[in-house]
Amino acid sequence: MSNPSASSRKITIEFDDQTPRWFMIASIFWGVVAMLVGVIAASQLNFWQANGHIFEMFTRFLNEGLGLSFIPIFDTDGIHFLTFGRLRPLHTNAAIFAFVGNMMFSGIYYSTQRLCSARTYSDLLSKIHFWGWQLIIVGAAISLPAGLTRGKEYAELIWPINLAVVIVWVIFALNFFMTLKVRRERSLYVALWFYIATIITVAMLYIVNHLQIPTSWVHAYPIFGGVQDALVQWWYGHNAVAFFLTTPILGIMYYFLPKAAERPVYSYKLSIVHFWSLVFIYIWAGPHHLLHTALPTWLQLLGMFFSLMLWAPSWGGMINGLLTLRGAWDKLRTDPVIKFFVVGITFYGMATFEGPLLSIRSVSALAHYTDWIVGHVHSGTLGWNGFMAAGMFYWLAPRFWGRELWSKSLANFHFWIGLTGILLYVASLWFAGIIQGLMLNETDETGTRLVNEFVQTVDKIQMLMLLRVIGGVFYLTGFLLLAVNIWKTARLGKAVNETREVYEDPELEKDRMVWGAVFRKDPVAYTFWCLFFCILWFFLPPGASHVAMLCTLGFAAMAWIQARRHATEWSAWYDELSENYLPFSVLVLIAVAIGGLVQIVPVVTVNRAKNIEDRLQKVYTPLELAGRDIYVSEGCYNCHSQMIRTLVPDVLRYGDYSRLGESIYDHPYQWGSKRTGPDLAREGGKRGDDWQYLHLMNPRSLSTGSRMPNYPWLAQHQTDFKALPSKIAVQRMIGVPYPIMTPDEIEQGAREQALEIAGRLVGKQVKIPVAKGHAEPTDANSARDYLAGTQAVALIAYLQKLGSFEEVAPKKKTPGQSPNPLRFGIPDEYRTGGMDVDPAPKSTAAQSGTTASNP
Amino acid sequence: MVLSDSTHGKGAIPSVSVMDVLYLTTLFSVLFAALFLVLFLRVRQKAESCADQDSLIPFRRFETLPDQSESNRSQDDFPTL
Repeated sequence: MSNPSASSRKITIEFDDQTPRWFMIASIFWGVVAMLVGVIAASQLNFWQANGHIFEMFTRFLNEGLGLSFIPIFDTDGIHFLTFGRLRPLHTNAAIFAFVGNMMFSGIYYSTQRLCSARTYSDLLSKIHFWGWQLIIVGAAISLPAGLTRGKEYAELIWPINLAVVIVWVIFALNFFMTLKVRRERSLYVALWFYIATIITVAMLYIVNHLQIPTSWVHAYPIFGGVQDALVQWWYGHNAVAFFLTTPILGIMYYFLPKAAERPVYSYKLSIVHFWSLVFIYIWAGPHHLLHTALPTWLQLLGMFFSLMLWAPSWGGMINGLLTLRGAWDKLRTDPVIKFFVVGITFYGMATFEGPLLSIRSVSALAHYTDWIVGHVHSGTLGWNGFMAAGMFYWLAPRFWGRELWSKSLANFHFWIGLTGILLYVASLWFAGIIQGLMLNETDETGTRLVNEFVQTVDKIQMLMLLRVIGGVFYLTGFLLLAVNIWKTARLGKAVNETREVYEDPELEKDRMVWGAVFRKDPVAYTFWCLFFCILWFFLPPGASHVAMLCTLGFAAMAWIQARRHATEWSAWYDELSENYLPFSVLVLIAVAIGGLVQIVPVVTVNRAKNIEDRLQKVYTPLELAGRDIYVSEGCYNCHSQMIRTLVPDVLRYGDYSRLGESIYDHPYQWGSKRTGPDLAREGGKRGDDWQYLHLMNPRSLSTGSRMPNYPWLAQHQTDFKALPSKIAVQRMIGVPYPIMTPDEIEQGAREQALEIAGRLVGKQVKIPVAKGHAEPTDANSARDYLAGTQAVALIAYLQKLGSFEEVAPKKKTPGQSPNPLRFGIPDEYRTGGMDVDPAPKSTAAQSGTTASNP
Repeated sequence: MVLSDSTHGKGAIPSVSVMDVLYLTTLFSVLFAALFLVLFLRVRQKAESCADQDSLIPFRRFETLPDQSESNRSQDDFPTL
């Protein structure tokens, strides 16, 4: 903290409020876009025609129904860039990175300057950051509907945009940390800790999860595949929620809530415990997205364990936020800002209670892949992020434009319609998820036969899905009212930058901590040894692990005693740490890196070649690979999983449960996270090519009540055969064992397989909706030649390959051989008697078994 | 097919052991969370450093800048608590 000293002098500084003002406006604009796209996508789950076919229905009604013959009929079966598979990534990316991202930058730029008593380090960097981020969003808004995607949730953007994100993030980080460096406050306020954690952790997560090798300017394959990719993805995906949607908003809460309530945060000490426990624990929880899958059990348990622990720090933050209002609850009646903040924090508490609950494996067995998870996510984004954003915007607008908010009544109305919208939305998805989960798991009295068809469960929740849309419309309406309110406030006011008198003290004691004083201190030493032995406890075999456990407990007890005995010294150490931004940031980096290292490194280094569970995926042919890229591009993973869990209902419905080795060559993995349609892990060979073709052209012709859109353009768009050689070259680089082939061999092989499939389709006399401008095929040969070049055939080739594997015989263990107690290894190997297998396949083809008798 | 509800692969641990692990994991996690919450609620009573003074940084203004010398640190310049 800044002590006025003899060397200090008063100066007047002008804050850069233009940058946070711009970010706020951008956040509101993109928020409306994100929510509008969300409403359209949600409508498509009720009416598949909302993908563009509705235009034909409407114009046909006008033309033929009302006799308005001058209105042309808009003839379309759907518009390919408006399908759910393409809009859903646009919605999630817009909500996370455009709406919350811009809101977070607005709050960070505004509060950091005040907390540092310094103008942002560089106006130029601020401008580059703002415009760079908006360009990235525009790039996403164009590329995602165009089907240019990496096929990983919240990480869909293509590699050139990934590079731009990294560059802009580094610019943001540089600007932020340099502002900390030139600050005129000695101590870093708690909000800044959360911003530091955000910047460091998002950088780490983003870079690792986006490691990829390009095959063209718009396409790349991730270097991780199968289970590795799944683990890295959810380490990133879960912590995108943690460190993009939570920690920066907590920082904003710690600054703006006390300002709005006009009293300091309830407990600063509590915020210290809250911060460190949250950033350390959060990073471990990712595997709870993969419960009952082929992910090794030890990782699933670790993810569940840390998720349950996460309840505590999350509620610590909620309690600290709500109790800050002690003595100020009367403001709740009159101040819309406080209303939004209180409900936002309450939703944070609800969502962070629900999260650990859903991480319990038995609860996950019911809830995962259903709309319950979607409801949970939206209670976080609409309730926590959206309401915190609204509260902050209503608080900032009068300060940005130097006049009262245009209409407090409108803000209050926004609050009530928004809250009604969230409750309608979340409650309907809770019911929908639980109903669907129970129906999917229901068996007859023998327990061996499922009762409900998948599509019956979709029909059952139709009304609830409609309520969800209505809830979304309410919420969007409220947000539009916010936009109007802010717009009118800005129009009637004038943009102003705040000026403030501060002390300039060249001798301010900050950032002088030597590294030895940071690390060679009891708090760090005890934490290190506790963690070290805790990790050994987990990874060492029985016997040695017990010793490690005793060491962990011993160090924990010693730490407790020392902390009580030397409370003043420990406190002084932390006070000094919070006056030194660089050591503080390094400790944050270490705290967030540990979880990822412990979880990912063993899986990347050990499991890939060894733990394939007796099955090895068959490598895709060039045409199947092309079909897979179309599957990814269309966003099929948004509705279909490719992971049969180790649960009886899953096995009864879809076939034998998925093994680690069965997706080992999938770059990216496509296990999915939601089943709006059935699982496809063993789809291959279940049905004929003609069934698949007809289903793609019109799903309802084969499955009454299906919500899947028609995909007529798959029989019109051409497969890119020319791109295959470079794709296969990259596949080889990342470890997929393709034989050496010349580009001509690759293309010729793909075309020959396509002709075989197309020939079978023509033999079945399927209808071909040829592309406009293309001549109708006149005979069977020309029809076959035409179809062979289309995306539909490549996609069918891929779908028919799903579930293909080769059996791999397990290695025989030497009798009496026991694990070496001093050898490190993956915990499953020791604790489950996991097998060693010979990675070389010994038998040839073995198609998965399926249970045709079950729906 | 005999299928445990929570394991997979040959040589998987029997489901009873898994249930033990799950039960203990859940139990200890919830206990840990409860203890942490108690700690959270008690922690405010023990303000021994200048940390609580730092909670006033968002309210810092030149004209109201308090004297923050060591001797004055325990005084809270915020009147409404």
